[in-house]
Amino acid sequence: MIGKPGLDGHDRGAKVVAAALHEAGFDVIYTGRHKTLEEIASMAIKERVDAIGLSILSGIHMEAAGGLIKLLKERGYDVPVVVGGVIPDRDIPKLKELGVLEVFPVGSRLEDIVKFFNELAERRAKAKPPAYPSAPEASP
Amino acid sequence: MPEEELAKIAEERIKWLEGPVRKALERSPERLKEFKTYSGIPLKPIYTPEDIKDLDYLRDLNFPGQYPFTRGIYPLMYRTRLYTMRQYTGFGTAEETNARFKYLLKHGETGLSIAFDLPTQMGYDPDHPLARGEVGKVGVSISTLRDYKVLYRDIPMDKISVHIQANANAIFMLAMHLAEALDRGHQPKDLWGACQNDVLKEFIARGAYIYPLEPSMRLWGDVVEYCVKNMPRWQPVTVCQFHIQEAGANYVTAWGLSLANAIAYVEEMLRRGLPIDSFAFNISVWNIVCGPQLFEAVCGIRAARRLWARIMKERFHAKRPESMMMRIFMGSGGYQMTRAEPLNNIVRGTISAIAGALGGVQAMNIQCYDEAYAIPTDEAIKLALRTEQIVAYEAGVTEVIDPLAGSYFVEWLTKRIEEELESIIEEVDSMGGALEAIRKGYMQRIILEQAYEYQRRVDSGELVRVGENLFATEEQTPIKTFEVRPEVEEERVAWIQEFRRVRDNRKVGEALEKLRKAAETKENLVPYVVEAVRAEATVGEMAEALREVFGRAEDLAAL
Repeated sequence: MIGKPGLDGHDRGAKVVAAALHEAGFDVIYTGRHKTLEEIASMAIKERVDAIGLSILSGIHMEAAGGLIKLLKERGYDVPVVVGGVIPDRDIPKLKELGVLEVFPVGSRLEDIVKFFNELAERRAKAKPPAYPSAPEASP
Repeated sequence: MPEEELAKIAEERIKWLEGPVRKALERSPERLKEFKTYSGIPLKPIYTPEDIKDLDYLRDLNFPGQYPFTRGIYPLMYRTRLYTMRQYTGFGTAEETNARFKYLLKHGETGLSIAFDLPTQMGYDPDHPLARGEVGKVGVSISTLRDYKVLYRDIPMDKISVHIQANANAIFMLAMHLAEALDRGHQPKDLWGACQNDVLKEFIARGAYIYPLEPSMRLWGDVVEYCVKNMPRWQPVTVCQFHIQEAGANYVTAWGLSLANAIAYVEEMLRRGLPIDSFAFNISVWNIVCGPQLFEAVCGIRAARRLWARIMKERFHAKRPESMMMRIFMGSGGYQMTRAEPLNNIVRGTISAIAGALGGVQAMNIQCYDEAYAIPTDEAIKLALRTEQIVAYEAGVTEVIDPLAGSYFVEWLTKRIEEELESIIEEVDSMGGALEAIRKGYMQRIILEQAYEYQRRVDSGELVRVGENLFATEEQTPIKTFEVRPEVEEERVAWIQEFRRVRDNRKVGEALEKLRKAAETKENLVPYVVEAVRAEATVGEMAEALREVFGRAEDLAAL
C-alpha cells in the first residue's frame, strides 16, 4: 500500500511508484491524498497489506513515519514501512532508527524500488511460519 | 519568399542530404536514434525557409505590444521595465518570513511571493489535529489578521507587488490583504498584485483543495468578480501551467491543459454576466515552468501568447487589446532540480532564466539549488535572485526584444507547439469543457501517464539528468540545508489558543454566522470574509464555517 499522509497533495511520486509496482506484478493500493496516520493504519490492517510505502514531501517524515510505526505496533500489525520523497540526508539514519526499513529520496530509480520490494517479497515467502499473524479487526 | 526561391532551396537541401550528410553518416552515425524535445516533438537536424513558408510577419508575429503579441505584450519590453524578481518565500512564523522578505528586498528583489504552510492552505488552525507536524514547515503559518500585519510589517502595500500563493484558501488571504490595507488607509484600487486562486489545477495536479468542485468554482468566481469590480491593479487568478507540469505532464501538455482551464474561467465570468472586456485583462496571468529545455520553453511561451490572443479575440470576441495580452510569471520548476550534485541546479536555474528573458516573461522565480532537500537557505534563495539579476543586467539578453524571432527553427517550433495546444483544447472542448474533463478524470489520467513515461525515460537514461543518471558517481556533495525551528508549532499552538481566549468572541461568532448564512445564498462572499477577518476570526474558523455549508472535497485524482 502506498500512503499519502498529511495535508500535502503532491502525489506524483506516490502514483508513479504505485504504477511501477503494479506493472511489476504487485497488488497495489493507493490511499489517496490527505490521509491521517489513523486512516492509513486502519486501511492497511483491513486490506492486510504486506508493506507500506509513505510518500512525504512536506517535511513531516519524522512525525509521520514514527507515528505510523507506533500505531501499527500497538495494533500488533508489524509490517515493513518504507519512506519516499523529499528527505534530507541527515534524517535518513534517524528514520531507520525509528524502524523505517528503507528510504527512497527523490532521484531514486523505479527499478531499484521494484527490486527492493521483489526481494522483500522473496524473504517473506521463505519466512516460516508466516511473517505476520492474522490481522486484528480494523477499527472503524 | 517566392516559390522559385523555395524550390531552389529544396533542390539544394536534397543535394546536401545526399551528399555531405550521407558521407558524414557513413563516417559516424548520429548519437541518438531520434532527436526530440522534452515534450516529445521530433526534431530535424536543421530548419530552413521551407519550414516557415506560410509565416506571415504581420499576421503571425507583428510588433511587440501589437496583436497577436507573439513578440511580447509591451512595445519596448525590458527596455522600459525589467521582469519582476519575485522569489517564493515563507516558513515558520510571520516574523521570520517578514525578515526574509526584507532580506530579499535589501538584495534587490522587486516583488513578493508568499508561501503559506499546508494548514493555512487547507483551512486549518495550528492547533487542529490535522495540522500536527505541518505548522510553518513548507510556508508561513498565517491564521489571523494579526499574523498578516506582522508578515507585512514595514513593507508598502501599494508600491511593491505581491503574489499571494493561495488557492482554495484564496478568499481568506485576499480578505486579510484587504483588511490590512484598509487599516493602513489604502483603498482597494491602490493594491497591486495577484492571488494564485487557480483551484482547477488543485483538482488535477497539486491537491490542495478544500471544497468540492462546484463550491470551489463559486469561491473562485466571488474572488474574481470582487477584484474585477474593486481592484483594477489586482490579478485575482494566475492560471497555472506550472503545477500541471510538476505533477507530471510534459511542458506542452501542461500549457494545453492550463489554457483549457483558463477557458473554463472565462466562461464562468461570462455566465455571471460580466462583459468579456471588463475582466479579461485581470485573469490573463500565467504561472509556468520555463523549461527544462531552452528552445521549447521560449517557443511555448510565444505560441501560448499568440494562441491566447486569438482565443480572446475570435472565441470570446474581446475588443480591448489588453484583454488579449497573456502575462507570464515563470518559475524554473522544482522537478528538474536534482538531489544528486545539487550545485548543478544553479546551472539549470540559469538556463531557465535565460529562456524566460528570451521569451519575454513579466516575472521570475528561480527554484533554489537545494530544492530537492528542503525549503531554501538564505544563501540559496539569494543565489536564485542573483541569477535573475545577472541574466537581466549582465547577459545581454534584455536589450533586444524577442531576439530569437525569425529563426527558421524557432518560428517552426512556435507554430508546431501552437497546433499541439489547439488540439488539446479541442479535445477538452469535445468532452464538454475543463470541468467535465476533470470530473471524468481525463486531465488527471493524462498527467499520470506522462509522469510515468517521464520516469521511465529518466530511468532508461533517454532523458538525461547530469550527475543523476549520466556521469553519476558515488561521491557525496553535502550542502547546508535549512530547517524550520522545531519550536514553531508549539509556539503557534500556544499563541492561537491565547488569541482565541482574549478576543471578542461574540463579535467573531456573529461574523461567522453571517458568513455561513451568506454562503447559502448566491451573494458574493468576499465582503463577509473581510468582515470576519476584521472581527478576528481565524482561517480555520472561516474555512470550517464554509465546510459546514459546502462540504469537503473528494480526491478526484486517486488511481
